[in-house]
Order: sequence, then C-alpha cells, then structure tokens
Amino acid sequence: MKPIDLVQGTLDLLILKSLALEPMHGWAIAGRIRQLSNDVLLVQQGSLYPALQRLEYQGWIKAKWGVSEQNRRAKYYQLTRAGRRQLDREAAAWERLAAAVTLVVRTV
Amino acid sequence: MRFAQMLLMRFRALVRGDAADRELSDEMRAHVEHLVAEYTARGLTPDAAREAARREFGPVTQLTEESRDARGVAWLANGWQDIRYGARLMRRTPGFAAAAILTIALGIGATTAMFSVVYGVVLRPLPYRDPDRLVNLWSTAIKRGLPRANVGMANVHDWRARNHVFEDIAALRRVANFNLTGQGEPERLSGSSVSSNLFPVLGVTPLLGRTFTEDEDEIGHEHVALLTYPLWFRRFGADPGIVGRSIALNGEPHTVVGVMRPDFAFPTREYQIYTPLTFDPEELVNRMNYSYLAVARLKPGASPAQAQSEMTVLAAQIEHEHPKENDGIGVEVVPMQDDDVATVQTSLYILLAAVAAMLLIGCANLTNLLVARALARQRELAVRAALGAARARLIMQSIGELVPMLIAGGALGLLGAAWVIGALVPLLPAGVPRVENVGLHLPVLVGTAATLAAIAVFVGVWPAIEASRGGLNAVADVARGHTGGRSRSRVRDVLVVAQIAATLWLVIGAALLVRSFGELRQVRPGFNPERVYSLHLVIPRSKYRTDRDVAAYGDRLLERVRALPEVVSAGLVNRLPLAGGTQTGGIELEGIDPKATGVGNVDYRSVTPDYFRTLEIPLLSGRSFAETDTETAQPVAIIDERLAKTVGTIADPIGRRVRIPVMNLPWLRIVGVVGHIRHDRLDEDTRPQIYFPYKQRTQDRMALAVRTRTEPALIGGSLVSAIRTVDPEQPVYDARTLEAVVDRSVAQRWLQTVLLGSFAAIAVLLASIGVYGVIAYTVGQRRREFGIRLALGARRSEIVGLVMRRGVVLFAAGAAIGLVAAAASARVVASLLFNISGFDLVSLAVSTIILFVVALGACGLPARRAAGVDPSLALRAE
Repeated sequence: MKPIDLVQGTLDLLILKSLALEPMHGWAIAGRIRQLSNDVLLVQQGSLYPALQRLEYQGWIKAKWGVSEQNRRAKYYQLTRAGRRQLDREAAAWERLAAAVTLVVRTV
Repeated sequence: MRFAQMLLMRFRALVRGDAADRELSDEMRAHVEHLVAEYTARGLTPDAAREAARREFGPVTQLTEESRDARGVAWLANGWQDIRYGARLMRRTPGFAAAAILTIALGIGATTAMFSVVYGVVLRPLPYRDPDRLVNLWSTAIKRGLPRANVGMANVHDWRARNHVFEDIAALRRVANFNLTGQGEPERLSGSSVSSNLFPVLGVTPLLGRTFTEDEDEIGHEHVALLTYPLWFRRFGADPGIVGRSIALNGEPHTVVGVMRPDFAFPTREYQIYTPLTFDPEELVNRMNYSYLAVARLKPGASPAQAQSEMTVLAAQIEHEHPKENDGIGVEVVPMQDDDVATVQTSLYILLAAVAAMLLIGCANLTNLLVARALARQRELAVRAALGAARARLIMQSIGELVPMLIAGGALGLLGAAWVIGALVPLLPAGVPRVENVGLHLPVLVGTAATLAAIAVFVGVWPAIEASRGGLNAVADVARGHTGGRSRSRVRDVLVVAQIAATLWLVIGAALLVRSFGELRQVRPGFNPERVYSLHLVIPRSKYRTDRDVAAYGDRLLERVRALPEVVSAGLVNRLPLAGGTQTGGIELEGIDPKATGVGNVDYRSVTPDYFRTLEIPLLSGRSFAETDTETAQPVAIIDERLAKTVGTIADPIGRRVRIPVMNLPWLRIVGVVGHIRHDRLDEDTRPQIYFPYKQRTQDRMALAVRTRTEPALIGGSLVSAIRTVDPEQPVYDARTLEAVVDRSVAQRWLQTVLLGSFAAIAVLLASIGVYGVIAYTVGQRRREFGIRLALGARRSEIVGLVMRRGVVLFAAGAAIGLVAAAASARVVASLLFNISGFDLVSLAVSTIILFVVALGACGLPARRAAGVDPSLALRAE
C-alpha cells in the first residue's frame, strides 16, 4: 500500500506522542513515527524541524544537547508539562475527528 | 508571565538568531547523514544514497526559513527591516523627512518642556521625608475679611499641646532682611527664623554640621546660623571649613552651625539663611502677633481631612477660652504639596493642554503626508494585502517605517526641551514656585517616550488602513488609473476638521488672554510709575538702635539723594506698591462702631512727606505730611479715599481721630485724604490704606522711591553711591524702575499670554499647512473632472467656487467643534482671565474670523491651480 501523506496539523500530534515515552532527537522521532504507524504515515523528514521549532516556541517541548547512541552530539527533545496537557487535548480532538470521519464514511 | 517568557524567547531568538540557525543546520546535517548511512547500508552507491537522503529530507533552505519563522523571530526581524527601510526612505526624501522630523521635534520639545514644568512644580513629591504627611497650618479670620492669614505663636503653642493628629508642629517667621556684612559687598539676604524642630518635622539633615538644637530656641542662644547650599557655594566659595566660623548678620556675630543640602529650598528658593526662632513671651499672653508660618507632620495614618476636623474643634475651644483675642480665628490645614502651587496649577495645566493640542495638530499634518505617500504606494500595498499579508503586518510596517523619524524628531525635541529648561525656566517670574524642581526627570522622559509611542500608533495606523482598504479591487482600481473615490479621503477630512477645531480652541484661548491682559493694563494703579526709580534698604538695628537714629539716618539718605541733579523728589515708604511686601492690620475710627464700618484689614504705610509727590498719589483733601510731623509733635495720619468713604465724603474725616486698635497706641488725628492705590496686585483691589509719618512710626525696612527728570533707569548707580557715602555698609536690593516693578507684578499673566499666543500662532501655521495639503490633494485628484467641466463650458470662477466650497465646509465643521470645545473649557480658562468672561464674544468672533481668513488663504492657492487646469492637457493625461 502507498504511504499516506500527513493530514495538515497532525504532525504536531505525532511528535508530541512520540516524545511521550522518552526524550529523543530528531532522527529518532522520524524513525519512531514511521515505526509506530507501521510505515503507513509518510513524513517528509525535513519538515520535522520547523514543527519542532514551533513546538519549542509554544513551550510544549524543550531541547537539550546530548550525545547519541552513535556517540555524536545530538539535540534531545522532551515534553514539558504544558506539552503533556497539549498532547491530551490534541489526542482527544483527533479521536473525535477520526470517529466523526469514520461515522460519515461508513454511513450509506 | 507567559507573555514575558515569550518576549524573552523572541528576544533570545533574535539576538541568538545566527547561533540558532547554526544549531539547526548541524541538527539537519546529522539527520541527513543518518539517512545516507541507512541508504548505503541498503546497498546504494554513496552518490545515490546521498541523492535519496536529500529527497527524503526535503529542501534544506526552505525548511531552515520555515523553522526561523516558527521560532517567532519573524516580527522582530521584520520590524528591524521596516525600520531600516524607513531610514532609507528618509534619506531618499530628505525634504519630507525634514518636515516630519521638525514637526515631531517641535511637538515633543514643547510638550516635554511643558510637562517637565508641570511635573517639577505641581506633581513632583517635595524633597522631604514622607512629603504627603506634611501640611501647612494657616489661620482663618473670615470675620475680619481674611480667608487665610499667618498664625500666632500663642495658638501654635496651644495646638501643639492639645492635638492628637500631628507628630509635631514647627513654626517659622520670614525674615526679609538679613544684612550680611564683612566679606565683600554688604548683602541683604532673605531668610527665615525657624524653630529647631522644623528640620525633624521636614525629615531633612544638613550636608555639613548640624541643625539647630532645642537650647537655641531660647533667647540668648540664638546667635547661630544655617546656610543654604547656594549661599554657601556663592558667598563662601563652598568652604568646607565654614562650620564653626562666625559671620556678621545685621551687625551681630552668628556662628555657622551647618550647611543644608543642595535640594533644600524651604519654603522657597528665595530663602537663603536660617536662624533660630525666638519670640517675646508676652506674645503668649496678648495673643496678638500673627507673623508666623506653621508646618506640621501628620501622624502615620492620619489624613489632612482628619487633621482639619480636629483643628477646627481645637480652634473653637481656644476661641471659647479667649473670646476677645481669638474672636473668629479658625485653622486651615493644607497639604504642603498642593499649597503654594494652587495659584499656578490651572495656568500650567491649560498651557500643557495647549501644547498637547499643538502636538496633535502637527501629528495630523504628518498623518496627512504619510497617507498621501501610502496612497502613492497603494498598488504595492494592495498587492501585498491581496497576496495575504495580514493587515496587522502592514500596520506594523507602516509604524516601523516611522521609527527613524520618531527617533530623530524625539531626540531633537528632547534637546530643545533641555535647552528651554536650562535657559528659559530660570527666567520664569518669581511667583512661580519650585522652579528649581523643573528638570528632565525620569517620569518626564517616560511621558515623552509614551507620547512618541502614541504618535507612532496615531500616525502609523491610518496610512496602512487607508492604503490596504479594498484589497484586490483597489489593485484593479490602481491598475485602471483611478485613485480612489471620495470616500478615500475621509480620513484626511477628519484630520483637517480636527486640526481646525483644535486650532480654533487655541486661538480663542490666546485671544481671551490677550484681551484680559489688555484689560489689566487699563487698570490705573492710583499712582504714576513713569520716571520713578525704586530700591529697597534694610536698616540694621544693631547700628541704628532707636527709632530716632533710624529716622535721622533716613533723613540723611534723602538729603543726599535729593542733592542729585536728576532727582525731582524722593520719598521713603515701608512697603512699595506692587513689589510683593505688605503690612496690614486693623483700624478703629473714633466714634464709629468698628463692626458697622466693615473696614477690616487696612494697609499700614509709614512714609516721608514727599512720598505722595514722588508717586503722584493725589492729595484729595487736607494736607500731606510735613517735616514737622516728628515723634514729639501731635500724632497724625492720612487715610485713603476708600477709607474716607466709609465715614462719608472725602472731606468729612479731616480732624477725626483714628488708631490701631492695640493696647496703648495713641489716637492719631487725620490730617489728609489721598487717592486709593492698588497695593498688592493690579488685578485685585485688596485693602484701603492708612499712612503714618515716618518719624512717628519708624520702620527699619524701607523702600526708596525717586522721581527723576529723565530716564529713571540711568540713575541707579548714582543713587547707590549717594547711599554709600552716608553708610558704606548699607546693602541695597531689588533696585529697578517702578514701571519694571509694575511689569513684574503682572509677569506671570504676561508670560502665559505670550506662551499661549505663540502656541496658537504655531497651531495656525500648522493647520493652514494641513488645509492646504488636503485641498491641494483633492484638486490634484479632480484635475480631470475640472478639465472636463472646463471643456464643457464651466467658468473658471465656478471651478474656484467648487474648490473653495469644500474648504469652507471643512472649516465650518472644524469651527463648530472648536467653538463647542471653547465653550466647554470656558469656565477653567476664565480662572486665568481678568475682567473678561470665558465666553467673551469679541474673542470668539475675532478668532473665528482670523482662522477663517487663514483657511480661505490656504484654499486659495490650490483653487487657483484648479481654475488654471488646461482642459486639453487634463484630458490627455488619461
């Protein structure tokens, strides 16, 4: 099956969800999204970065320089308390949307 | 909090912009390397792997750009860009920039200077500890015609012992005549005798040495002095060893115990030296001497209103205990901060309103110019708006472009204000209190910054809104060559109407003041100040101990002065009219019930016989004083015509007896009636006058008045040397022509008239530029229409009429609003007026007509241009 382009605005939700488990760097976030969605969702990897900057600016994530598994300098992102609340909000909103769309699609 | 955090982040993003970009590109490069490594691992060639990784990652530059926007630096970076663009525009259009900068500089300079005066004089807290707890205490004697009077020591003692609202009450007495002799020229100093608790009450400490001790309040210990900083600096060369040294005051040695700090100017900057306050204990018994000022500090938490009600009760108690002496004596409690500025406050606020109006009028011009410029760029702006630039962004851009002009104009204005404060404020009339407080203090600068910000918004918003209106339609319009319909210029019309309204308001205010000042100069003071020279003398009692010594000294002085060839006549008086000093008291006419006459307080004057001739105060009946009216002769007096009229006609009182109703003072026979004069001020007729012969009621503070044959100003030098031949240690002060004395007495009114007049003149100039601009713009827009009209046979006069009609409509709307504003503020303005109502029809009419003529003139030029349109050219221009 062909990968699906991301619905506008869902990238933020995916990033927040990926970071819910543990702090990680950009590369790992891209991998995690691909992995979690069973390769269904296609994220143009570069577009992660504007999103990350935006989320940081909103105060939902914060970044810290660290060292990656390959022993390279990498910027690690982690959820803030506000980010966690935002994730809950966005997840709930997404579920409502998904349910509504499903309902419409299935109704004959 | 969140907002602050956000700002901080944005700021960091801006200053660290490069660093953030570098971090980001590191991060992205690492990411791409990861992808390359992955693809290589899958078996691609290095080149293919790199290519695949790039494709998967996306366009790096664009992503970097997007990230930067996401960081929220956009508006700051854009703002900086707009400001730089504004600076470039300024360089490209220097004429426009100069006009704009000058307008801003003028407005900012005037408002800043005026606000610094208002702040320094009215608003700035006094330089004492907890100044809001300081109050002045005054006596009131409404029954005797004195709404406010000095206080008596007996009352101060009672208040101090019995009140519960004050921490303490201090007393002082103004001493106008400290003769400082010894080092250099003899000098007369104005100063004060103060109770030792004054300094703790005010909460001030000296710069050097100490203040007075309680012991020094006792007679016999009072030969000590405290210097103010300016006196110490000027007269003693800021000598740090001054404390402990002895100086000669009124011929007696005083030990300097301390020097006050530079900001200490109590009660005003005229006071230069302080000695301890001692008084005759008899005053506590006879309760007669009301020559003190009282200052009190409220207990923490006590309000002036509470103090007032307690003091009212106290005053009633004291009146009950001393029904004769304290008959009708009340107390008034006035916060110190408000007290001495009450007289100038209204005037200052009106002038501040005037400069603010001037600023607005200037800003309206600026807005008009900018709207015109924005309309010229309308196509660019409309395209940008259509392409999705938010209106907010366009407004920010418009404001950003203004910033360089605002900075330049603001800086220039501040320089101007600093110059005004440094050079002109010290020249303010002596009646304006706390002038030394005027300066570019922080709140003033904050006010200036706020004003500039307000201008930025007021001036910057309109052009953006005007130009971005209509979206793509506007683009299409522009493309088709139409520049807006009639609605397009509504903002400019509103601005011009506002300008005319504000200008008319100012012109009416100025006209009222000019008329009022004219009325004031019509007032005949009752004496003739022309060709009279005057100066003041203080005669030291240490040198001339008895009244007879003083009188003899006065005789010798007059003899020398009369011998000068330029002198027609010369006289001495204890208080010169309109010079600021007065001496008053009650009076009792023989055979007349004091309650029935309602005479109240009168001016006491001690004069030498030639005084009336010198000032040309007319003798209406009886005789003047003579050299024979000596201390051993029959005591006599001369009354003025107003006092005479309380008896009957001016002839009636001759031969009657009069006296000062104090203890053992003798009855005096009235020998003459002279004309009434305005003594305190030209604009207020305060009290009747009674004159005593100098030799029968001798005073040690005298003014010398001299009538001269020629220009009086020239005689000053020879007068002083004549005096110094009699006594080389005699200080002389406040020497000037009597006309100068009269002028000085109205200096404050003169100044506010001149200031408001200049503001109004500038406003008229600015408004006429505004009217001209709008009409000229309209004419430019309607060129084609006029061309067609002319081609169809319209007469040129009709075209002129068309243009002028528009000007008249705008004027009428503005004038109507201006007149309403003038009517609304009439009552406030009226408090500055003399003999003129705030609704003075002459002022209203003249102002409206003047402004109408100016507005017509401003319309005339564009109207002629409209009539000169060449139809064929105008039509071809399409």
